[in-house]
Amino acid sequence: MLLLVVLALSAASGGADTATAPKPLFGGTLVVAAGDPGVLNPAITSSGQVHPVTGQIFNGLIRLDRYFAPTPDLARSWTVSKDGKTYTFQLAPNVRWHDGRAFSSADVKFSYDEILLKLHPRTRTLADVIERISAPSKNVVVFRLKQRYAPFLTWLDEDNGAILPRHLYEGTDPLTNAVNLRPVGTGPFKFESYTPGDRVVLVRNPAYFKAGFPRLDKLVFRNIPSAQAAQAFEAGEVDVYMFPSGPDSLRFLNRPGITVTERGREGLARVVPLILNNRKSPFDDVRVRRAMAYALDVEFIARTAYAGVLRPAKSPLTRFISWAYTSKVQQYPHNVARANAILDETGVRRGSNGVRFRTSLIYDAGFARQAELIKSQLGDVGIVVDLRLMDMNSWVRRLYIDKDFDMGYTNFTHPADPDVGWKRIYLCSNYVKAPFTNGSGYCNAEVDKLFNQAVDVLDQKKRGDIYKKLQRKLASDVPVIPIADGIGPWIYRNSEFRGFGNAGSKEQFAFGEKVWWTKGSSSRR
Amino acid sequence: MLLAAVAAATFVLISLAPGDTAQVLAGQAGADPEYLALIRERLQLDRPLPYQVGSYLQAAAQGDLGFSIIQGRPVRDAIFARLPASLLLAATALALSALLGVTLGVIAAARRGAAVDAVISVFSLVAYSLPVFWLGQLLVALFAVRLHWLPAGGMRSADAPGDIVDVARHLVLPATTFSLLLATLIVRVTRTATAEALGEDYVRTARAKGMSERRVLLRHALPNALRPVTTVLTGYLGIILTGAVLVETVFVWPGLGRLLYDSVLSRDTPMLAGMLLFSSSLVVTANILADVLYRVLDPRTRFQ
Repeated sequence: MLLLVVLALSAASGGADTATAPKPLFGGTLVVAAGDPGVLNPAITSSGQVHPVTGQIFNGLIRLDRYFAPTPDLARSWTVSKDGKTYTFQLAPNVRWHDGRAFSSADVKFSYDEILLKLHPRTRTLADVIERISAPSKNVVVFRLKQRYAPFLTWLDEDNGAILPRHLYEGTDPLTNAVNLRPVGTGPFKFESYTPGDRVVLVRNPAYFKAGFPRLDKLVFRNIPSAQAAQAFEAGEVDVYMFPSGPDSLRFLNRPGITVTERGREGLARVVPLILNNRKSPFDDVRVRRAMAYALDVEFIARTAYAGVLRPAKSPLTRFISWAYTSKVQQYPHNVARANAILDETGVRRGSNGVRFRTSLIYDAGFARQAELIKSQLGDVGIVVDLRLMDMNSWVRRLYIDKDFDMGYTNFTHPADPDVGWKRIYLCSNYVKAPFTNGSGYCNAEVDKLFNQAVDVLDQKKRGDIYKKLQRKLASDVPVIPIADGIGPWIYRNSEFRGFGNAGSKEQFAFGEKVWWTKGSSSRR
Repeated sequence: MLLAAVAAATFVLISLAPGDTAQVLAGQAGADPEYLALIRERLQLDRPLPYQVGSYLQAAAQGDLGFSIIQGRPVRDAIFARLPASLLLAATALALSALLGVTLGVIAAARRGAAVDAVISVFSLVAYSLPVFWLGQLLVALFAVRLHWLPAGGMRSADAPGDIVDVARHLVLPATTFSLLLATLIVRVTRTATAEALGEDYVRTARAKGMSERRVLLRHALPNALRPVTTVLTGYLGIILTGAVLVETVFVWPGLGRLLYDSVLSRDTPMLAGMLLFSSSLVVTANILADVLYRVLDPRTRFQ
């Protein structure tokens, strides 16, 4: 009998659904509603449209589990030298590229030296840390670092460190190489076809180096934008809905045969901040920023604008990075009287019309409801907010390039490690003219020092203590006001597909390896 | 000349819009300024605009529309990859709308002032003002989600790709929606032109000869009314590309309209310039085609 598993959001952190499932079966086609990926080269982009596809075709050296601990992928084991500066990786034996060529340590060295450290928008910053990469034997790769760098291993997954075939990329321009559209990887699925705007089809790699995997025969990524994906999912035409909106998530919650869960997306978790321009009056006064934090009802914003799929933020860092997270920081429970009192104290008094000051909020279309709520809640304490809707590119230019704004609202991800995604929002040296850097202009030498210290500490607990100290400091200084914490769920049909929940914190990029079909056959024909 | 101006204008407009391909490639990863500089140099986005336009036009004159980093392939390939889907949708919609529009227009003209005429007028007014997004979603909700008669979107289903029946089933909703949109104008034009023709002397003569009203309408009035209808129809050819943006987006149709939309969002200059160049050459071609058709439909023009 088919056991229908219904996972409510609140229970989403519970066990994987294989815990209740029988023995995996073989065969079947899984259909995914996804974006149009364009180039299928994972080493030159951090795009969320590309990696759900390329993550099934390629591998990194490691994969991150749900708690961001490294687990084997192309590297089956590794050792770290005493000084913490040399990482030696033993590669899995008998790995072959999809075209039949043997994979070796030379592919790893080439991928990093020639592509990842030059062209991957995130990973190229590692070039400052890595002294040299060597391949002493076919199955061994050694990374020598210039200094101790605690988050090093978290960079080595497919998302940030996909290994490409040297024999197809050497001597070419990786940005324009035609192989980018018919990728050759080492992963569980082989590329079959890509029809732009329509679909990407992948088929099982029978020679996959992890014996017994994958179980499915085929993965089809249909290019369906999120507004249409809900209907396609409802009509039974797709089995996985990658990036549902809040209302869509609620729509499918508690339906038999459907799982709505954040599990497998932890690696994309973040705290969504309201960015204040700290270099502009009156936001340069920390008391004004605190008063605004009291004025905002983040519980209400999370419940309504995020339809309850994100939680109100209790700290500047996401709760999903649990080893570093603390909620024991200055909290700003919704309190209009308190906000008014502080503002009166600072001298930002109400005029005869009840207005303290007039300001503006820039946001893009995805955040209309959040913007309305922020406007109305700040209005309650006499701060009049003009809403300025703009498209994403204009928003980026205003906030990060021209720095011509009062308040701004958008998403950030804190990918897997506080040093990778979180630091950039606060670091003084990261107040530069580039997108998604330190937008607020906050500058605190002590904060910069702590961030730099943290990467030198290899002991995770001690390192976590530094980040907890940072959270306390940042919660007290509120350069940005943390609004909502979480990832938002993804949705799949558990009545026909099992084995989700086992592929780590970026499962959305790697589910194909373990998922299986309940109507499959018991042996591989 | 005209085409060169279109291409140049595209470059200017895109450069005025905030953001560029380098930023889009960087995503929300928080890329450093050096990365942006590197990509801009590679794509020549750091060169002065006149230089960019000049080198683009020079290459385009030799048939090279450039390379789209976002799409990962030459612009020409990207356009031709999407063209069949666009042509299929547009041709079906044009045929349906011509059939529907002319039929309703003639009926309305023949029954001027009667209830039928009023109904048709109201119908075309409503169809004209319906937002495509709303109508499309409604049709999908009804026929795909509720009744399961037709697929919700796309051009082929996951399990029967390439099957003609499968493609046809996917075509029904977008083609119907698109043709309703196109038909409204044809109804109005046909009605007016036919009504005008019905007032002409040769129609009175035909009636005086005792011809049936049906024959008068189809043999005498309609052929003369077709010329303005042709103008409308050939005018539509240009929107095979641009006009289908909304329909293709709602129904997830893998055609040029959606490519255009995506390219605007990703500030993909060579892709946009290529598509606008392509669509303006379609318009030019359509106008030439219209002139030829006039000659066929209207013997008077042959002696000018």
